[in-house]
Amino acid sequence: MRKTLLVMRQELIATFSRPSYLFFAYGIPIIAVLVLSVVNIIQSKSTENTAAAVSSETEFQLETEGFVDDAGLIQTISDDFQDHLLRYETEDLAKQALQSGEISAFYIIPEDYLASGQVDYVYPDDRSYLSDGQQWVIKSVLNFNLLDGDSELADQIWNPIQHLEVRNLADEFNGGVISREDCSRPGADCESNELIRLMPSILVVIFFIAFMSSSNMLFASIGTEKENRTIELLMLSISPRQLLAGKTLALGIAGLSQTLVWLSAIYFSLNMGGSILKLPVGFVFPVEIVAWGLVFFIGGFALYASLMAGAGALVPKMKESGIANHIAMAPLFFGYIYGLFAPLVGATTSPLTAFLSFLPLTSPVVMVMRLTDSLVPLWHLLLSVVLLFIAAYLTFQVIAAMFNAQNLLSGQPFSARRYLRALTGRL
Amino acid sequence: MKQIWQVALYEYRRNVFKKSFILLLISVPAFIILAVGEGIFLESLENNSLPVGYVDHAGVFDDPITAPGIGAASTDQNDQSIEFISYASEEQAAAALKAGKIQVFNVFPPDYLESRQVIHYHIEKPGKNAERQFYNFLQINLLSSKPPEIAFRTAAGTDITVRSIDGRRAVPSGGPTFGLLMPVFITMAFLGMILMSSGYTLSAVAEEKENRTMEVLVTSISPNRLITGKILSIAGISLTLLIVWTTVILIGIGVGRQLGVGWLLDLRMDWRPILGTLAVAIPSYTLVIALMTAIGAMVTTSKEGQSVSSIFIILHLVPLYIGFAFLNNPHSLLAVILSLSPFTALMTIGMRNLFTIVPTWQILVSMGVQILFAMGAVWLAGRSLRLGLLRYGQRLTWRSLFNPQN
Repeated sequence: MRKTLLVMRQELIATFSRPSYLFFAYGIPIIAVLVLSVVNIIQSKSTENTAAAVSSETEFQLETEGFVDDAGLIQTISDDFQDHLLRYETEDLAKQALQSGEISAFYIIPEDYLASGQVDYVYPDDRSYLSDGQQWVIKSVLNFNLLDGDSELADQIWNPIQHLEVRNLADEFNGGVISREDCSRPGADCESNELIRLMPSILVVIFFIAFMSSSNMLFASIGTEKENRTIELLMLSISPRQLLAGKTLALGIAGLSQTLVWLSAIYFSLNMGGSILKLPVGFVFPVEIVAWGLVFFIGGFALYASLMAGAGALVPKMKESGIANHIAMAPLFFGYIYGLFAPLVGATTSPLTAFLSFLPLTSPVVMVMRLTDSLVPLWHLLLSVVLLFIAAYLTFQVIAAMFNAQNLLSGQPFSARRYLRALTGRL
Repeated sequence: MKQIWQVALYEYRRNVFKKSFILLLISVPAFIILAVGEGIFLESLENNSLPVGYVDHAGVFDDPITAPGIGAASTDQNDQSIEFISYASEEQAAAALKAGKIQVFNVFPPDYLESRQVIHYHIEKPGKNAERQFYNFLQINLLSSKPPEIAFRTAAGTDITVRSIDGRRAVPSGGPTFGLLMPVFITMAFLGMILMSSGYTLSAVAEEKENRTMEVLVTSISPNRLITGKILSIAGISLTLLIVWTTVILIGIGVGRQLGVGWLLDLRMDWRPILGTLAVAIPSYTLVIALMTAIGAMVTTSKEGQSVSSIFIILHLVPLYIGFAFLNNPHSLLAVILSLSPFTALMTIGMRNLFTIVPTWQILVSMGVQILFAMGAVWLAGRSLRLGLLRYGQRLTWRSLFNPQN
């Protein structure tokens, strides 16, 4: 035990004295929170100072644009847009107006508009072509004119459902009614705020990076000692199992503290920087996500660090580590891609998602995604954690068994077959 | 010259015919295929082809019109067509929903036309295609009194293509086309090449210094020929990676076009931004390769070199993280400075070419800056190799590198 602690201490000192680790693990999130705090303070002060001066002038301002109507459709322009949409007879005239700064952009409605529905929106060269501009203005004007100036019908077509009441017949207990939009917590139910909606995918990315970086540190630590032959000296005074346990504990602590800092930064940023990040009033980032996230990090790290350590033990040179990395992390990568896309396509409640959130190889990222997206039943969480920790324990035992002098001192090249044979105890 | 080719060929064969290199070659396309396949599979879960029911107390669907063309004009062309079934009462519709005959039903109360309120019943969240198509179905029926072409156009809506004044650049409403994204793809390919070749570059000389082969080598070949041969071999290795991956991507595009993937059908390209990106990318790549070779010759072990070289990689990625700052203002001072600076120019020019038209003068100045820095880096690589040739265990300092007396 004493030797394990010695290895752990040494590894902790080496990791915490590495500037790149300190900057990545603590520097970036601390800087992000500090910047957000400073902006928050400045914003709140300037709001106090200028509150009285705020008038309708600060409201959204429409830009003045032009249009060339080759289809002859636009006969009337409603009063709202009268001064913001100027007619030009030809494209050349509109171009001149654009180049002189009279208008900020112009539309060309082609002769065949009724059949094609196509409209060109011409931007000046210094404007981003990916910006939407104020397309809604011409769409609204076209609808208004297509319907012979019937503003009521145009409005009805523009927005045919103003109040949508959603009822879930499966949900008998709360009267079958679920809210239309829930922006009080992260998840896909908040459709009006992209940051809140995409939060599950963001958490998946953060967890994937945390697993990759901390597992890679363990891999590099073992691989480097193997490459520079320090391991030969170490093995004279310490058993391979003690070496593996010491390194895993140390880098687990480093990874855990990194994840804790990142999650805390997200927690504080989202709960503090609501107005800067344009979060709706009442939004709260639940502390349970942080707590459960840390539990899944510990289990996931134990599992993947063991797999990476096994790969590191079989790699003779760090230069050849690429393939070993890919093989060991492939299941996590699969879970990462799934966890990243599932919230974007609304598959967070599918049976496959549930299965992957219980499967120990993918649960560290997929369950975190589920947890961030919606409320997960407690038994799902407990079962997933138990399965993950059992898998991590068994993997650690297998890796510890292959962490022997024969493998560590071998100069044989790494191969997927050799790795899998070692994992199944046939090496 | 013969010796240069001998070194290049030896290094190329030594690295390329390794099992690990072949696996690396295969692993990237395999990961891409896995990621794309998973994405397509997940997207397929979004849709549901079961019918949608409705209970109409408002008289909107008295004589229901279905316009099949609407789906094609205003929504995803790959949407499966959904059947809409009318029910006389909520009870009947609920029974059909519970029996799994429909995925969802919508109730239009008598005052719908005034209140625009709709009640939506489901058991599981309905498919996105069902939501989209029902919305169109509702719109076209609200317009039933209008001539068909007017009703169709109003319901299908307007597709807006954003374009430049000269018409050379056009971004359709669905987002950038494959051709428009080409500068970004080129940038990513060069960044990938830099990442992949950085390991080889750093260890090009450090390995020979580590295992002391250098002493034997310099008795039969000059340092300049040695370094040229090594750089040629690294370029060859990177090119092999690029050719294989490009071939895989081209096969993927061909298959995608055969399968009718809409995004891959329009492959028109504007060559100006592509050539502009390449003009900056090639000297930028040379600059990094030469600098990494110089560092490899300066340091005592390849591991030491890796920590220094990661700074160059991070600098290349800086524009990616602060890209939002010039997303809406691609001609801002920050964007121009990053476009002209070494290391950041590759990514900035690639990204800006997607958002806007980068002025020719900026491309030319950036290219000039990259070439100047690349030439300086090649000179530095040669000098560091000559000075650090036989220094074992001793790091070559920047001061001694620039000291004219050495």
